[in-house]
Amino acid sequence: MPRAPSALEIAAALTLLAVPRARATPASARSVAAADTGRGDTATTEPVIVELRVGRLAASTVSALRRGDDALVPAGALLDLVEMRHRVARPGRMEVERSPSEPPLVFDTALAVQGGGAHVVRARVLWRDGEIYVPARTMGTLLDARIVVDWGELVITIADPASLPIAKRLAREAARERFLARRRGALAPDLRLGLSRPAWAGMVLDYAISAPGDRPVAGSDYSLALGADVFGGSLTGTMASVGGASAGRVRGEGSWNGVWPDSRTVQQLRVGDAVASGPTPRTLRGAYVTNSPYLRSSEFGVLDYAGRVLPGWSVEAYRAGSLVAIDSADAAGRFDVPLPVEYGENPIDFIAYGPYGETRTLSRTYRIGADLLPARRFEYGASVGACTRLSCTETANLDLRYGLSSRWTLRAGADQIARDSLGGLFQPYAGVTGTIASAWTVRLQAQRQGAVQTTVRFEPSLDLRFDASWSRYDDRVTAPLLTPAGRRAEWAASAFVRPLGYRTPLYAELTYDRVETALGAITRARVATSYQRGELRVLPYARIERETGAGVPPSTETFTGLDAFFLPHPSWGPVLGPLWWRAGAELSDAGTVTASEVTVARPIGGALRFELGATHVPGPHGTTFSLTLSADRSLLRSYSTMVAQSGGTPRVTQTVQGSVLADRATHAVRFVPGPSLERAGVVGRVFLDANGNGRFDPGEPPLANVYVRVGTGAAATDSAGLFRVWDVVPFEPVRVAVDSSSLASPLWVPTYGTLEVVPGPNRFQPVDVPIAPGGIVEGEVRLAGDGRGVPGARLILTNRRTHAARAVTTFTDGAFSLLGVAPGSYELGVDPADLAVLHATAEPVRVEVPADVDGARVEGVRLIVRR
Amino acid sequence: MRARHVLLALFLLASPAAAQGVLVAPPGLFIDHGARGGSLELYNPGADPAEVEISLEFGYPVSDSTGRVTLLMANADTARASAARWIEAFPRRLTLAPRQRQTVRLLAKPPAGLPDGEYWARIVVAAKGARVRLDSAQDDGGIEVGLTLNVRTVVALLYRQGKVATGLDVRDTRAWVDHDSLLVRARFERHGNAAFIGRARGSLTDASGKTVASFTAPLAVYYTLEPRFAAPVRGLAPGRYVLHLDVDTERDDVRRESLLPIDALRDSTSVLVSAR
Repeated sequence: MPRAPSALEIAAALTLLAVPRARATPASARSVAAADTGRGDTATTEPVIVELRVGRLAASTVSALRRGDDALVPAGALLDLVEMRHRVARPGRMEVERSPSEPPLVFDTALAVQGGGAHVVRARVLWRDGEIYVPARTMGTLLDARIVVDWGELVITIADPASLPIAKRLAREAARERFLARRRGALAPDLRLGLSRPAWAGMVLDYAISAPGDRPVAGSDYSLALGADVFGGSLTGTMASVGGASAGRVRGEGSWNGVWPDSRTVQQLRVGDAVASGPTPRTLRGAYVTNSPYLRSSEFGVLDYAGRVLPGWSVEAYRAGSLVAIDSADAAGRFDVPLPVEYGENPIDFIAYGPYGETRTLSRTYRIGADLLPARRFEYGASVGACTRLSCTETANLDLRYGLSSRWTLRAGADQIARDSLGGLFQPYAGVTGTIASAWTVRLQAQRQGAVQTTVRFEPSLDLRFDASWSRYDDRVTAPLLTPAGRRAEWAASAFVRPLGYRTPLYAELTYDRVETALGAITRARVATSYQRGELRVLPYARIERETGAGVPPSTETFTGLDAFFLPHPSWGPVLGPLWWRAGAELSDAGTVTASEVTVARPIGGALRFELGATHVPGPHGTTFSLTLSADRSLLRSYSTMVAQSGGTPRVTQTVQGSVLADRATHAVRFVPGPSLERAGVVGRVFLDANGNGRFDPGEPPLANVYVRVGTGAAATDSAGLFRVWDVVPFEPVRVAVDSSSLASPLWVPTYGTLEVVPGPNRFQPVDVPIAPGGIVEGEVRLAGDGRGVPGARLILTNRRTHAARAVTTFTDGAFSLLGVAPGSYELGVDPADLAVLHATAEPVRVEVPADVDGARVEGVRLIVRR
Repeated sequence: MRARHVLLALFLLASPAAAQGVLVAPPGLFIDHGARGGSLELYNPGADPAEVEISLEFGYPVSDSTGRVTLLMANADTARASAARWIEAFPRRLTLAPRQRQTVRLLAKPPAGLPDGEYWARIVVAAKGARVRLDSAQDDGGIEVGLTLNVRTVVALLYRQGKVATGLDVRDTRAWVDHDSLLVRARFERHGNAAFIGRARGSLTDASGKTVASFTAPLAVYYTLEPRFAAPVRGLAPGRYVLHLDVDTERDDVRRESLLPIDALRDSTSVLVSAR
């Protein structure tokens, strides 16, 4: 990957960020300095030993002073505790470093006043035995934290330390832990079951029927689609009525789609009805082949991002609030973070941390266009077949794409179209897509007998986006098929801005487009804003339309309108609270209402929803009322719609939709709502694997009520231990994991921590999920000789057959306990690294864990450390 | 029998906290015989690791002659109502890293033929600092152990088998004003085969019916209890007042389905405030 051309950018930006804050004059009393008015008055104070607590983060026993009900806390001890750098400049004066962008905090017994516009907090500060004592309340004000003094318990607590360096450090470390845990979790699964290719398996039937109330049979529309897994590919056939059942016309399509996810040359092959390859999709009946993945991963790749901060600092990169990369500056202050980016927008926050909690931040948004390929990746697509929708006889395409770098992708290819009477079209094309810096995206493409198209996008952050495109069409082609007929040129531009930042409820957008045809031109522009307050969002807008044409006087119309949404408001009670409202109205420049509508909707129970609407358009139709009742049941979806116009007869339409799934593995038929074609499912049995062979054998007990996660879905096992999850993506690996807390015994442990399967299309993928009846291994590590326990020693338990290892650390008395150890033969030893530290040896011991449904307990295991 | 003052964590009188840093939730655990198990959530919000040991003992709240409520820890092996001897925690010992959460599961293996009723145990979560390092430079055999205060948090566990019911009698209600406090005592006797979990509310009204002091306190009666309730009163005019004591099963800190309902109880007594 090439390095981002911004090696110094972050350092410069960080410096720039710091400057205005450093120049800012503190406006509040908590900001800058404290000085005394007491001049070392100690007459009314008494020393006390207290516990100083920083929330639940840290605590220390310190010597403080009590003056009446007030506490004077030792500033040095407190600052050490909260991890703020400080120094005693001279007896009676302490300077506390904060962020370099902020002036230091000064405690001075000599009534010092800081220059540079510093604000002074007057308080009785004392100097005693090399320590500055500051009133707790003053200290809380200066640190922007609430300090609670409890003289009964002799405890002084910083109640809300979130803004203090120690809390930030701990939060950062927690984020790092999560980041590292995620990285560990991304490792290979314990078991991976690849795509199986049966001759035939599974069956899916999708159906959708729509019947009008006045002619429920003759006037109905229907579609049926049948799918199966044939040789590991998706065989599908669909038929749909055209123009109502009584017309007797039916459109049929069929195809077989094979996927080879691990192949470099052919990843997809579709035979039958398909969509053509290339930048201009169209349907055809023939074949389509490509080495593009069936489902492109959202992860694009890694961009190196380098910069410079001060030595000793560390840098973290967050994407959407989640830590994605970390690095520490070297002795010269250089850092280099490998930045994983995804297709689409990547808002990245860089945060640099100093050793004493200082922070610098920098935000950047990287946009990875959908057309970009990772560097040095080559993809092709080819298709050929008879035209099914376009006015042509045959069509073909060859499309080639190459990732020149992680920022530039080249594209070239050709479309060939055969027509009956007008002669064929051969339309080669070439283009390039790329990103410039991090904010600019450019796309250029030219096609013979087609169009020259240019698109530019500028998106420096989530708060600002600007798009512009221009297309020039070849209007010399008669009856073009890949471009709009009669069109000459097209301009489009849009801008989007959130003036107050992306977490605020206000945005504005501007769109403009102009289309030129042989007959004239149409220009449209629209400016709109959106603001949300509570449950109400309002979107006022204004738009203009202008038409010009040869021999026709130009016309210009302007409109202003307002759309409003009101989200459910629970405090309005159970009847009105769940209502969802939408309303809108538009006025012409003459002041007349051109359109208005109001819609109200609410759920009824868990599966029903009603929607009532009224739309008014001036003219013969007047006002139209609509009522829709939708039901999403476990077996099917249903939509009942009634539409009535002023003075007309109400029209009622009933639509039902769903699918039927046949599961050969369990000989079961299931009904599910919504379409299921070219989707997949996972079915399996969770059982107690008493003999440890990983397969479900007669006599092994199935486990009921076990919660199993399959990708983003989940299901609980029935009394036979079976679970089924439908609607996962076929051909793509999906993880199956057992929620171990749902197992009846805490000693049982899934044989495979992570299990991955690749389901085939249109069927359930069977998978057994064995649970091992685990046990407990307990014992101790002791020193030879005096027999003292060895605390903090890391022990490693290794399965002698699989060599799978797990570690445990001894407790403070040298004891250890391992829970959920699967049956087997193990070797338990002290980590050699720990033995090296101790300059000691320890003979590993053999541990046998028997299979016991109730959980084996192996106790008294003893390891002796000899020095 | 041995009595211990274990924190101030009587059943459902305590918030799920421990000073050493390990938080335990929920503050009370109800296990149904059909489920045979439950779980506790431990969390170490501190900056240092904590070593945690979980044990089960048998105990219930009792009151002394002053009305102070303490936890009486009794012999788990002989007490008929004890569930401590046949419920086990997994894991029993663990080390919690800073800001780590851990689920501790409890598995019940009750004896066959367990009669219907409620059985009790106290889950004792003992936490102490676990900062330990191995260092060959030390003179003490290369081992250094940092130990801190051992803090115990006690969580009530109620195991219910079959039909369970509870009831409560209140008697000997008396109240008096001592300086700036209203003090109330009453004797509660539980019947049925399950502990009573609910609350007590008191209100002191003057001759015109106006409430001049009130209190609400959680109440858990396992056998009998004679607790003392207190409420601040200030500037109370001399005269005769009436103390109303109400007992019901409304609790914010317990899931409603875990509470065994009873008919609300009410008792009252007169309070004479004399001139000072």
